[in-house]
Amino acid sequence: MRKLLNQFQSLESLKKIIIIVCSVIMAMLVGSLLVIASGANPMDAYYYMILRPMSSVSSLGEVSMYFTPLLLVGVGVSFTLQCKLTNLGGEGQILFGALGMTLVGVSPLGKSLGIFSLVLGALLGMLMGGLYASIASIFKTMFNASELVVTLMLNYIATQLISYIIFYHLRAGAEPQSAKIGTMIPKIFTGSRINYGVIIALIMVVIYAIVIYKTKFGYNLRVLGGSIKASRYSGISEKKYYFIAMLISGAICGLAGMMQVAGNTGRLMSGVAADFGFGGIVVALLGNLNPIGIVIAAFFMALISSGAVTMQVKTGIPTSFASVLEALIVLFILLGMAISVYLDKRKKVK
Amino acid sequence: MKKLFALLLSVMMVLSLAACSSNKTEDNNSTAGDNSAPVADRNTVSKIAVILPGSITDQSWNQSAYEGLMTIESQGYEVAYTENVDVATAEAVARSYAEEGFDFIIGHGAQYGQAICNVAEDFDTVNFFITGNAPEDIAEEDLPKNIMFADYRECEGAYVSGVIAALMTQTGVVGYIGGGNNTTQQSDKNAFVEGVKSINANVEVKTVITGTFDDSNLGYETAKAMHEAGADVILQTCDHTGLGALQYCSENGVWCIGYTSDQSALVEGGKMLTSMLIDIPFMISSQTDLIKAGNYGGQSFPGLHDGVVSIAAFSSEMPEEVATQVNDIIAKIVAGEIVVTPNYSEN
Amino acid sequence: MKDFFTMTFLVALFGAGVRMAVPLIYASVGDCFLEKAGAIGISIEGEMLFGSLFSYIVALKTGSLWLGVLAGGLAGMFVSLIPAIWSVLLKQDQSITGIMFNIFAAGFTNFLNRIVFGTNNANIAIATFPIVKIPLLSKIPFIGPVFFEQSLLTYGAVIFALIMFFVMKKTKLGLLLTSVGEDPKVAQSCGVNVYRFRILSYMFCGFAAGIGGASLVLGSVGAFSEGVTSGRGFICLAIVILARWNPLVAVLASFTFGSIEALQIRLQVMGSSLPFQFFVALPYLITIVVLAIGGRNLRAPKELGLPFDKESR
Repeated sequence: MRKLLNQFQSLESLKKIIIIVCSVIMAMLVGSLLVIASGANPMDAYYYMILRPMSSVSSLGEVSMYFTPLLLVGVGVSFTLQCKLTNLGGEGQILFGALGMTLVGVSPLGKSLGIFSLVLGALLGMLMGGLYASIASIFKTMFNASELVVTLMLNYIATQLISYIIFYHLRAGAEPQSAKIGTMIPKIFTGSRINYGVIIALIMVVIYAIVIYKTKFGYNLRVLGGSIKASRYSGISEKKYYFIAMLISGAICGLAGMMQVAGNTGRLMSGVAADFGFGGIVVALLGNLNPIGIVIAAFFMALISSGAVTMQVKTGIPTSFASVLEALIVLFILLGMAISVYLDKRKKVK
Repeated sequence: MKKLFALLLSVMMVLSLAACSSNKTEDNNSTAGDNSAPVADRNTVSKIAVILPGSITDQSWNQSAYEGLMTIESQGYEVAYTENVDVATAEAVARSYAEEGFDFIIGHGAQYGQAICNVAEDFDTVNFFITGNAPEDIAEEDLPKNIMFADYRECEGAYVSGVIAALMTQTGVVGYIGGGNNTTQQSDKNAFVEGVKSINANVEVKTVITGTFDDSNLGYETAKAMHEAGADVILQTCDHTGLGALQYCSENGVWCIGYTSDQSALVEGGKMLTSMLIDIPFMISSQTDLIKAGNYGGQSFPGLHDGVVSIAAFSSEMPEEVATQVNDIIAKIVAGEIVVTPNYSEN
Repeated sequence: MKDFFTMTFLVALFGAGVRMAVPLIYASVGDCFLEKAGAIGISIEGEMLFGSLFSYIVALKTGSLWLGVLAGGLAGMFVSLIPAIWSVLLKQDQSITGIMFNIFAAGFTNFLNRIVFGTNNANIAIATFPIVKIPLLSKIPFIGPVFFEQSLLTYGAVIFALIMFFVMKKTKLGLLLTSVGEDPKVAQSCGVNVYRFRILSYMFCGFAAGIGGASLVLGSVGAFSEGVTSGRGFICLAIVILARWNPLVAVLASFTFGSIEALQIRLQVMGSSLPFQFFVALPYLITIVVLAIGGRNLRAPKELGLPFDKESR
């Protein structure tokens, strides 16, 4: 991980930034072949994809609807990635967090609490997400079961469990979805969907930074992950750290789920996780687990995801195209990072 | 650490600055009379968009909506669509369309109800349409007035399919393959069972919910398992998954009933008895007339009576007397003598 | 429930289990090899998708099922160069490249499908691989109809796994493979080109996954539909770990998976009162339980998932 961290720091020099920019341009050039093939104008397509989302407060609000969950899941899985655990279970943990919020939000108690029901919902959501994730760490420490596969399987199980719950227990009316929760997260501006969830998500990043870089716990996590070469490796209880890291990770993913319900859909239904569990992993790794890196990566991913919707709407490019373009851009950025590391090394050798 | 925090703060500031500054430009735009500004009159329609939960090549739910849209396009309307939209992004997509000046936006599935309600409140000169029920916990007077909810009575088609299955079966066992947990699927399943039992209470109905609309291999194996359990007439209502089931029926000469469009070409030897058709092109194009008539909105439940749901031409495998009996029952439903109530409750 | 334990029921159940296992066997055996070389095959979901699309196109246009299978394999092999180059040569994280590749694959196969067939294709079903009864063996009660009345693709899957088992356990190549996965630095110092070896492993796994994808289309359904793999690539990751990187056990694990899937359909057909969600989740629940029971002595290849850098110490 240290290598990754260094890699990020080395990007700070202008030269590296130029390389990244070039790689994005490369991706766009390759992408424009596809855009032309689908009969649209590449300049239009990229305008709607990258610039348009930043052009108004309402479209920035749309970006925030992607930014908040991506950032939270990114932070969440970073906790586990710091100690070399891969949490592919973001989807399931988001669903459980969403369930926690919904349970509070539709209950008479929650409705009487007003805005405080959000706090209660967030706490319950985080608890449920965290506990669900810790199934994987318990299986890892007790049975030596790969957390990668267990978390992946837990996603499928959570999907069916939530489907069952909204079908038989929380169903309001004919459609299998819960009732609308009593209180939504307040919006920051009128005329835009951006809500205070964004602030909470950014605060989580700060907490992440403090925990990882300023506490004994974070230090030990990094030792376990191998990003710090420490002599006292044997003194750390692996099991304890795996468990806590997974618990925190699941809790933050759960918070993302809470915000999906309280800031976006207003109801629990299948599909609230919307692949953010996987997107968050991309964010964490693209940001090299570095707090600022994660914020930038989350914003960038949110921008192109939201932009892809606008581009699709405006130019009629098929949705599948937009996802191909997103993937290409990320792959080319990785390429750029690799080149910059390579150049860095060559300079050192000289 | 301080440095980190400062950086974070500055990122936030830049973000909010960007937000504020762009706020101004947006104001400028609207005063300058941007062509995407919504029209004042909501009794007109020129640009139509459809939000689809799946892929337009599924030969079923989504494809028929897509074809409906293409029909509309040929009538001179500007059209657009977005595929594979999940509930979490539905609102963003609907908003984009509204902001881009689309004046009639269709959410093709009841799961989009809440998202469309949210958007409809902010765009009161745009008309919306939901293929499905209104969210039931919102009081009818609180529903935005510019949305039409049309839960078409697909279950009437399923009921007729059940009647056909019960009349045709020789083994006394028939099957239903559904895709997942939405209201349409549930009411289809219950109506199919009801239809079967109305003819012969002793016919056994095997039902399987596969949990997916995309897995044609699973559909194939499900049809096989049903056939092995004795089922000799199978209704599928699950898009791609159902295509696999039809493939099995075609290979093994099992009677089957198609879904949404006339799928008889997919099954050899006339084994497809009929298809339950949903005329989505008709449904959508009839909406444009309603909009132009003014006061668009509310709820409607079109079915066999309104021509939105219909039954395709029968296969030559179906004996004359069965066809007569089925047509008689269809006539009774149309006349309102038989009422098929959608039943969403049971599993 | 009374008809549960009849012979015909069990034969049908396990016969379906074998059929549903075939795509899983090809892809997971390929992934066994790749993971032994030190890379996780997150990208096999996407490679399978490419495999199914190209096998369908070629089989449809040429009329030859075997050319279809070959095309599927080659397509999988060719596209596997993307995750291979990114994770091996550029030393980027295997998860992120794998996930991005899968997104790319899902979008791109949809796009190609529409270019070739348009949106209004009637998805022309092609004749699939016929059942070949093996003389004598198919006469064995129970075993015969379950295992020896299958298509050539099925027999091919088992033979493929057998060959791979011997290659990995008994040959010099297998030894080399283990050394690259366990300690690439030592392997490098012994004159093995670790980069080249891993890229070739990716391509091999892509080839196998492509054939797995082809068997999804040419096995029973006979037509491609968008997203036809439905997450099977991820199931293969679980299978490989359950099988402890042993191709023969992977066959068994795939068969178990297929049978559970076949069982859940049949339980629903028999009219169980449990909610359907339970049945859909059943295979995944069982995987976790099996992992818990069988995981104790599990030991993954040491360098699994880590990029190799010959200059680092």
